[in-house]
Amino acid sequence: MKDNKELELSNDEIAKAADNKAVTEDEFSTAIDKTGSYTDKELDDELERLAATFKQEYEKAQAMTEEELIKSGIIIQQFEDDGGVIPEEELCKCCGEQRRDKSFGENYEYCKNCRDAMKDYPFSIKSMAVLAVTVFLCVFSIISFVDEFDNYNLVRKGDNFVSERKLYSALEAYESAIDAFEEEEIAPEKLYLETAEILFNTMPNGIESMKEVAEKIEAAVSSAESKLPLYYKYNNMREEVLIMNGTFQEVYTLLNGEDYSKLDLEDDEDYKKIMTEIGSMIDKEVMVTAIDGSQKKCKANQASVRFCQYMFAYSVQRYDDCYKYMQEVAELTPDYLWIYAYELGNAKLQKGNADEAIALADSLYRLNAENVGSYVLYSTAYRMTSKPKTAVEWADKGLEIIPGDTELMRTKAMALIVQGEFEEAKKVVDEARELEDYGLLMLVSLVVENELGNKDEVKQVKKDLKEVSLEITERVDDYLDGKMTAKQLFTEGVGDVQ
Amino acid sequence: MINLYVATRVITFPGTVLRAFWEHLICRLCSIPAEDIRAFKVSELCGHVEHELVKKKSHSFLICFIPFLLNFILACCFFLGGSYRIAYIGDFKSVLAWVYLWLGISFASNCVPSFEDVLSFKDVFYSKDTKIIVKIAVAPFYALIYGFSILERMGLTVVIAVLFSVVFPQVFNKIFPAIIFLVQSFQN
Repeated sequence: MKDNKELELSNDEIAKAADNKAVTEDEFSTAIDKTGSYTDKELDDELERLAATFKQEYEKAQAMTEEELIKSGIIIQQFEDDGGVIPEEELCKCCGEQRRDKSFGENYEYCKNCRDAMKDYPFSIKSMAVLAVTVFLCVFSIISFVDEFDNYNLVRKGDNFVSERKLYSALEAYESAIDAFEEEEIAPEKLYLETAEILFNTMPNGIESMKEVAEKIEAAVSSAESKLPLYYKYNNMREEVLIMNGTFQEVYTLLNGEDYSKLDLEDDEDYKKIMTEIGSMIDKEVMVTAIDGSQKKCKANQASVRFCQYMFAYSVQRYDDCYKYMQEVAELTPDYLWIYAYELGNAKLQKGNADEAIALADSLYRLNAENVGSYVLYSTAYRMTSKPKTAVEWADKGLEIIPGDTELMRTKAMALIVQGEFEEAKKVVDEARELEDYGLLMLVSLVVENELGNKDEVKQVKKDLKEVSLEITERVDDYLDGKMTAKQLFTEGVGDVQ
Repeated sequence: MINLYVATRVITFPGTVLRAFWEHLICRLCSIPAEDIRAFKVSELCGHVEHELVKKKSHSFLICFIPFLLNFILACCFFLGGSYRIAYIGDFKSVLAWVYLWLGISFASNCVPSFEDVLSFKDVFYSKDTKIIVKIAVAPFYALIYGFSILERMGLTVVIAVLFSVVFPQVFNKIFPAIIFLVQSFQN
């Protein structure tokens, strides 16, 4: 039995042991764990297997290159510099061959050479590619903006007009922009909705505007989008205008029917009959088609019915009824200033409620600074409350915004007459008549010429009135007969020539 | 939070890649050793270049300011093509406009320097030897990058970039008259 001493094996013995089956590592570990349980033969076998393993590993190691030996951890490469062998913890983190440069700090991780190389770290190809594509697309983005610059500028002007409350100018700017975009097959949905909203709040062309509102909302909102909360407001807007339009159509159809088209509105009985029939339209139903194509029945718009009644009452000069119906419209739809504010304001003035008339003018003015009605209402209200200077100022303010508006010029002329500025009033009226000549303007001209003592001019105006088959009104007749002064004509009662 | 941060960097990868590129460029120009230039790494430095601590004021300012400025300019250029079409006039059907908008948001949400660079900026500019006038002059910029770098770590710069893309046309419209004046002067 061999002693349990360290064995020295010769190469021959190693070769011999290699012929035997080599043990695996697990088997080797297991063998080492055994204590004092070996027989001589077992021990010999064990040693032979160990020798075989050693030989195998030795041959493997001999076949490996130095790099592979270092990599597998079999040998550890040591580096040296002037200071001797460099400990592992002081090797550069980057190259792993040189000593870390402690001059940059005790914990600095890199050597001087690596540090210098890091200053010139090359750019990655990925970054360069992204940069190239970005610059390319950036140029195209700018080009696409420049191409549409004029159209965006129109929209910008529209926005500026909206902030200045000049809604008609805003509408014009937006419409021009929409036309320009549509020519290039761009659908500016946001612009459609903005113009629809302005039209809804101002209705410059009455029923035509209602149709436009519906068309613009249909162009902007698809069937699927109409179900989103974001578009509920526009859906409701569209439905309202369709109901209003439908109501007006129903009234129009009724009154053009055989039963009513031949009635005489001057006759009290016929008047009451028509008014009752129009009033009954409130209970009628109007068919409306939603954006998704579904049909639904909606009750007729009450404000529209009352407005129709107002129109008929006004046409036969039943001003008490006018006031009643318009007051009801205001109560039913306080937001629809376009439908009632001007007419109700005038009606309130005639009843002597100048403050309420001015409040209505304020509301109209705050909504749209280009609404002629607000300036006319202000000017008229101040004229009738014997503040002709303020009346002229408001008329001038309106003419700055809407130059050449003959109704404003007529209102200004009336205020100048009240102020006693007849020459100035004549200039204004003559200028207005050159732009547009109509009955009420001619009557104001008649008053001016009469105040100036221009008898020939007075005759000429009377002749002009006959030519257009207009008669001198009762109020102007009373004035010409001396029953009231010019000032009374324009400050008392209806405060106008008619 | 890191995952959200990295996710926002990936979604806005053009801005992320170019921000790292601008930082790397400044490092090379200022001879600042860059240790890791990879744009995408799952850490707080995702989208930023790992570099040595900067000690000079000029270098610190350039590292923070130039990538901010360049990415902001690129964002604005893309918003011209994207925001105007989509947010301003509502043309939702143009694919190219959406691409421009996404690129604009990518660059806008990757303007801010890393929090490390912001702190380094603070250490450099608000040290005892810095003149008071310099401290006051850089204060607005420091406040801006400090605030936004905190928001960036929560991934909120993307949200802010989206909001900015919506209001961009209103802001840029203020300089329209100047552009028109310049164009007309050039034509004359």
